[in-house]
Amino acid sequence: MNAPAAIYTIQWLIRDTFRQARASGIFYLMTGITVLCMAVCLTIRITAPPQLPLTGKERKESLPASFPTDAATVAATVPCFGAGASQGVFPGVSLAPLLQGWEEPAVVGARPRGAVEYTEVVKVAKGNEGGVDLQTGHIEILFGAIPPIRLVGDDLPVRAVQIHLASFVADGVGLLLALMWTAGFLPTFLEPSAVSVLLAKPVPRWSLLAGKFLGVLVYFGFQTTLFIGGTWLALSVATGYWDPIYFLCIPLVLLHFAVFFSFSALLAVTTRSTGACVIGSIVFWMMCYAMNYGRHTAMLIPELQNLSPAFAFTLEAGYWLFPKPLDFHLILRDLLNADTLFARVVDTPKLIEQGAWKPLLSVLTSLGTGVVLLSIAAYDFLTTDY
Amino acid sequence: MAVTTQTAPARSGPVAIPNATTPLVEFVNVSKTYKDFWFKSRCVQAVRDVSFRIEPGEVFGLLGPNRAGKTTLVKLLLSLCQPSAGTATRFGRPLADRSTLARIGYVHENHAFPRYLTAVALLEYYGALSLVTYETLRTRIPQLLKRVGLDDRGNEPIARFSKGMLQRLGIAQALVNEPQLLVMDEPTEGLDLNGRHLLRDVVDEVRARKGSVLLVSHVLTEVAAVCDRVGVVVNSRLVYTGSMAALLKSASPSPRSLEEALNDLYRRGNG
Repeated sequence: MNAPAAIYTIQWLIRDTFRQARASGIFYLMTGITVLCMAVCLTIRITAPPQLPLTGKERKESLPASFPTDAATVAATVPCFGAGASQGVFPGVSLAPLLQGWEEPAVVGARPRGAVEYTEVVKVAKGNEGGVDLQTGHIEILFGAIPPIRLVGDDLPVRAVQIHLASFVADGVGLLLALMWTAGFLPTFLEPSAVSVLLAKPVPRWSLLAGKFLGVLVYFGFQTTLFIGGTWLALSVATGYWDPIYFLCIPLVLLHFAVFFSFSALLAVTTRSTGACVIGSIVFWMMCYAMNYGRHTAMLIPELQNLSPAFAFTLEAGYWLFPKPLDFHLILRDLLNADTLFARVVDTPKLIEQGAWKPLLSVLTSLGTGVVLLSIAAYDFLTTDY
Repeated sequence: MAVTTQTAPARSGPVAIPNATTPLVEFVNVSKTYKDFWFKSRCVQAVRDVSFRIEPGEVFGLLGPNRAGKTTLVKLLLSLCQPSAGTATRFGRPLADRSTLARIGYVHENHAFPRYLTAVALLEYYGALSLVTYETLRTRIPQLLKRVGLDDRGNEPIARFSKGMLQRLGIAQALVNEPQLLVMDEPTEGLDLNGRHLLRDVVDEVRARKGSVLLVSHVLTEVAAVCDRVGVVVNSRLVYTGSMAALLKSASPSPRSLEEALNDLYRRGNG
C-alpha cells in the first residue's frame, strides 16, 4: 500500500481525535485548567524593597564583609521560596560549625529537606567583597490573598513557579489525568462495529492504529504547549522576567506521556475496554514509579546494598526493562535547575558519580519500551479477525 | 461545515475489472476457523469449503439462518479477517491487495459511527478514507444526503439520529465512492417501508451502472425481490447457488413456496 494513502489516513485520524476531544469535553476541560493556571500566574507580583539609584561608584547597601558570620546568618535567615518558610531555617542545625572555616570554602553534604544550601550561602558571602546583598523581596500570589513569601534573588521566584507548574502540574497530575481522560479514545475507536467499516477502506490497516495513536499524541502535545506557553507568557507579563528555559519541558513531558500511552494502546487493542485502559495505565505508571524510586534508593542507601542477589537483580532488570517516570521527573527538574531552589527528590549527582544513572540512556530505554509495547499492539491489531 | 482542502492520494494502481468476464468476487474452497489463543477447544469453524463467484452487473444474495456463516463470508471478502484455507480474489486480485477496496461500498448491519460527527463530516471522513478527492466529495455529499432523505439534517450531530436515519446514513456512506461492488449485510435492520424502497432503488441504480451487489439477509422476501442469484449458507457450508426459480425446483418434495423450499434446504444442510 502506498505511503501517501497512509499519511493521508493519519492526517484524517489526527483531525478526528481533536473532534473527539472536543465532543467529549476533554478539550475544554484541559484548556480550562490551562486558563486557570494562566490566570493565577497573572496575579503573581514580585516586590523588592525600594533601592536608591546607583550611579556606578556607590556601594550597594550591604552588610560589611568584615562580619562574615553576621552576613551569612542574615542571608541564611532569608528562606527560599517554598522552602524554609514553614519549617524554620535550618531546622535543628547550628550554623556556627559551618562558618568556622570562613577562609576556606565550606564543604557540606546533602542539605536538610527544605533548607538553603549552606555552601551557597558561604560562597555568596565570600564572592561579594562588599558583603551579602539584603535583597529581601516578596512574592505575592492572587494579589496578596495568599500571605507573601519572602525570597532571595529577584529572578528565582519565577523559576520556582515554573518548576511547580512543570513538575507537579504538567508532568505530574496533568499527565496522569491526561492518561485517564484519553484512555477511552482508542477502545471506542476499536469497537468492532465502529472499526469494521474503516477496515474495509483501501488504506493500510496499520495506518488506522498509527493515526489514532499519533492523534492522541498530537492532541496532548498541543495541550502541553498551550499550558507551558500560556503560563510562561502570563508569568512573564506579570513579573517582567522572560525565562525561555521553561519551554524545554514540552518535549520531555510529551515523551513521558507517549511511553505510557503506548501501554494504554496495547491494552486498548487487546481488551477494547476503556475501564481496563484507565485503570491499567495508571497502575502501570505507579508500578514503574515505585520500581524506579526503589532502584535509586537501593543504590543510594548503604544499608540497602546488602540485598539478596536475586532481589537486586530483579530490581535492576525491572528498572531497565520498564519505563522510568521518576527519571523523566528528575531530568525535567535538572533542566529547570530546580536543585538551586528545592531539595532533591533523589541525589542524582551521587547516582551519576556511582555510574548508576545516565539520563540520556534512561530516556532512550524508556522510549524503547514504549516502541516495543506499541509494536505488540500493532501486531495484534494487524492479525486480529474483526 | 468546514471541509478539508487536502487532496486524496492517487489510488495505488488501476482496480477496474480486467475484462467483462472476470468475476468481481471469486471464492474457491475457502474455509475460515476462528481460533482462540488460549483454548483450542473454543475454535469455531465458521465457513467450510465455500466456492462462489459474483459476476459483473449481478445482484447476488446470501441467505441462511443465524450463525450460518454469512457475515464471515462478507468479512473475508472485505479483508476484515483472513481465510484459513482456500483462495479468494476481489476484482481479479488476491484479497491481500487492499487497493481493490476502493471500489467497494459496505453497509454494516449495526453501524457505530462516531456520534460527535455531523452527517456531512462523517461522509467527508469516510469518503476521504475511501480516497475520494475533496472536489468530488464536495459535489457528491449533498447529492447523497438528498438521495437518502437526510438533506435537511446534514449539519446535525448524528447522536440525534434514529436507528433508521443512521441506516440511511450508512447507505450514503457506502455509496460515497460510487462503488462497483456494493456489499450490504442485513441492511434492512431499522428501516421503515420507505427505507426499504430506497434500498431497492439503490440496488437498481448500482445494477444500472453495471455494478454488482452482494446482499446478505435472512429475510427471504427482500432477497427474492432484488437478487439475480442466491447462495444459501447452512451450518458453515454453501449448500445451494443458483436462481430463485431453480431453488424452487430443486427442493423436494415439490414445495408450494420459496419459504418451504428454503426450509427444506436448511433441514438438509443441518442433517
